[in-house]
Amino acid sequence: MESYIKLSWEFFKRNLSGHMEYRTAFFVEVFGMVINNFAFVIVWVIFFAQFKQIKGWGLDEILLLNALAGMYYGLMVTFLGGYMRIGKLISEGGLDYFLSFPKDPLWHIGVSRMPASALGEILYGLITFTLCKYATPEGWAIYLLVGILSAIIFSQFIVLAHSLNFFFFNATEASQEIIWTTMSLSMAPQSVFEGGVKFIMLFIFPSLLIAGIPVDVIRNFNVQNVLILVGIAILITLLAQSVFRYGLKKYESGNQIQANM
Amino acid sequence: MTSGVVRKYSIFNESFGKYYAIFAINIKSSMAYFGALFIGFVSSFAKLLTYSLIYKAAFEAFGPDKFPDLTLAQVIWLVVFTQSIYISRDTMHEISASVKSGQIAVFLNKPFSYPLFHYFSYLGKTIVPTVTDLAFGSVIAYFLVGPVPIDIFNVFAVLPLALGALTLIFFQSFIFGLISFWIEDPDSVSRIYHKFDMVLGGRIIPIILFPEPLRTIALYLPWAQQFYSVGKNLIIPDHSEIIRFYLLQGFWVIFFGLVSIWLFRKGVKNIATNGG
Repeated sequence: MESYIKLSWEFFKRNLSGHMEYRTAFFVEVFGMVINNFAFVIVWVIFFAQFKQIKGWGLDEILLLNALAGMYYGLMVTFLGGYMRIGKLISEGGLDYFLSFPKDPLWHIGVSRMPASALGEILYGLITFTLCKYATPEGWAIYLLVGILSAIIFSQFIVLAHSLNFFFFNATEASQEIIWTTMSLSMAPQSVFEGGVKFIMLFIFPSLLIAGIPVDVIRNFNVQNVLILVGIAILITLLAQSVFRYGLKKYESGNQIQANM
Repeated sequence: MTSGVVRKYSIFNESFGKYYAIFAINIKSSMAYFGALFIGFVSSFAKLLTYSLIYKAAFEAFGPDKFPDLTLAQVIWLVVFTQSIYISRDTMHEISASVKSGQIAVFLNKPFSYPLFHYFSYLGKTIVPTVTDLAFGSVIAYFLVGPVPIDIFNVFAVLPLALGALTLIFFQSFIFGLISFWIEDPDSVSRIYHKFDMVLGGRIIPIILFPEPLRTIALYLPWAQQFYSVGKNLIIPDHSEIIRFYLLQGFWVIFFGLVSIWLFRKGVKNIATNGG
């Protein structure tokens, strides 16, 4: 485990120094992402200028939701950014390279990439959190803890969605659609999901798992809620790892010869 | 050195027949993957369900006071039309890739106009997904919030607006693609620019729900002409307003069209000086 953490850190430094080669482009990407993401907040500022609040959610809750989204998405793409291309690797037979190493292939795929904008997502999360009423000293600690747990849940959901490619022919587009739809749903006020709709938002497009429940944990902090979130993170990790490993048995090599310089 | 390619090159090149063929080929090729379009059905359902839940909660609490003349069904149908136009295919990456790889030089030697080739190919690629998404969205909206009355006259009245909306989207994508002549990766600039679609195009919040003076300002901007115009004039028609939409959309189409042609001519000269 310790060696994986050390290696992950080395990969992060390598990815970062790769981006720093084009320093200006890197900073444009980082700060561009912060500006870009603020558009989501502006939409809700306009909305709440007319409707004040819906089902207990106002602008503060939307800021919190955006802060959390920036943190979990940012952490995921910073440390496991390669997960976003699992589907493509499976459907194009590109896993061979990762299977030839002694370390876990899923971990290796994850750490192999970090988009230049990744740190911009985290920065956006931190800035947005400072703007909402939950940014107390204890609030910061809870936010960071819940952000890490949400990043674990979100990253494992990405693995599950992309693993569809093991079982269905060319499901890359379908898995991307599931991911982007879940992400866009997770940016909406989660209090509107009630009754049967909760089932869809838990098991098909799990926005409640990656955003709804974590936001509730920050809003109403208690140990029991945190333990529930930890339980969800463990369960989804076990499920994603099992599905990926089972899927690997169905994987067909692309017979690709690659030179990785 | 000025190459023969640039000297002989014309934006509007020869007969229209070949552009129709490009348009038709792209429609056929998007029909070949018709099954893939159904993937979008489930996500359209989830998004429209979410919007209807949000607006239902908002309208039940504040609607009658704030918007006495507007119904929940009208708002959801407005979102359906805006989202369908938004689904139109982005040509920026295609153009950007051909500029960066130098493939554009090969295109310029072909007996057709490069902008028109991409325009008709874009229309061909876009129409099937847009109409399919509209059909899916309409079915979903019908079951979620019920129908809204639509006058057949208005359907014909908004058809030119729909074509104008797609043309506006194309010109903007074309401009961002051409920017690759000067900027290595136009993605980050275009990503920020397209956020205006989301905020001021009424994609999530229909412009009719905007507070003043933002509503009035937004109605004059290009994003309202490309995303909001069709749905607004179909769902909440006002014959005095439609003329204004025609004029404003016409203005923005001409504006972005001229910028596209100017950038294209400037960019093509770069190919000549760099040797292609």
